[in-house]
Amino acid sequence: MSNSVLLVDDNYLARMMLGSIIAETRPDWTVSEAQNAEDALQRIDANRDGFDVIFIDVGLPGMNGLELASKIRENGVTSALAVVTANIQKPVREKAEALGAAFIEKPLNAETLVDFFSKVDKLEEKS
Amino acid sequence: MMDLSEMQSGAINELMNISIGRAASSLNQLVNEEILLTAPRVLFIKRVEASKKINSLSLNGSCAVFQAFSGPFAGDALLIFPENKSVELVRAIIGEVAPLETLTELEHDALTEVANIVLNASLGSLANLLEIEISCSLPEYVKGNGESIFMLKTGSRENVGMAMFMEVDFVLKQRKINGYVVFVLDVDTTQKFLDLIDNYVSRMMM
Repeated sequence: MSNSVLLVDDNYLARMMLGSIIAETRPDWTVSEAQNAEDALQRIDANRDGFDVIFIDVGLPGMNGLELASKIRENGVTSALAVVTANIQKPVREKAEALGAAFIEKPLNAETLVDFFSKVDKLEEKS
Repeated sequence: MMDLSEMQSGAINELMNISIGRAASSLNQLVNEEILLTAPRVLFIKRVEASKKINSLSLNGSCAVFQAFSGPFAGDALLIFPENKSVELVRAIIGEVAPLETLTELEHDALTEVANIVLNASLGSLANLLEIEISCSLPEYVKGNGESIFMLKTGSRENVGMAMFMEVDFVLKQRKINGYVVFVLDVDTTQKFLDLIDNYVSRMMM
């Protein structure tokens, strides 16, 4: 079973940029994409094996990214969550961290992602 | 007309420098080239004059991304680029190899994402410095002249009142792309903004 990741962002270019960094850093991972919270929840529900990591943009139309992260946790999904956002305000970071999600600032770079994935790897080794 | 004390004026310039500097750093990471910034200009002007000023920044037609923000103070944030440079900006982000067709297809998403990053970095940095929380609407991409963009996007609001107009020019040095970041604060919340500036100055003086 290969590892999989879900990217949730309404902006095609943002998904493309994140997807290309993941392809570089984790070439064997399967990448799925969702444009909004409803689409993401459906994909999470449909993926019986569960996504290893879900990247969520905060500024989504409709349900925002923090609300989506909260909903995912409410649904009992244990995937690693990363809130990816240009909104660098302290309360946004605190809300993300309270949900057990990593807070990753846009624009993303490969080093940040490598660092994040190594933390995810360590957590998986422990569990 | 509101008069700023020398202290307030200095503090606003400093906060804008830090906030826009943060945004420039984000933009630098995205396009991988040096971003030059002018000193911020802060004016108290009529809203209708603000829209004319925005128009004067975009003589040959422009594309702009607009975000309304609210919190202890409220207003509008705009990132404006000359329309004839927008494809060049997309090229700076996704690289030289992409065909023109792809660049044009991505123009809307690329400019929206650039604005999302630049405006959120500057507003977020400002909010952190002032120890407040600001909510932003989703970015909206608009083409046209600056005046029509501003009037269109703020049409539901009173356009005859006063506004605090803050503007910074930035230039992508190698590609000779220039753009503007503009914040227009609603005057009814400007006093709250100035109170927060005074609090910031007091904290810095402790």
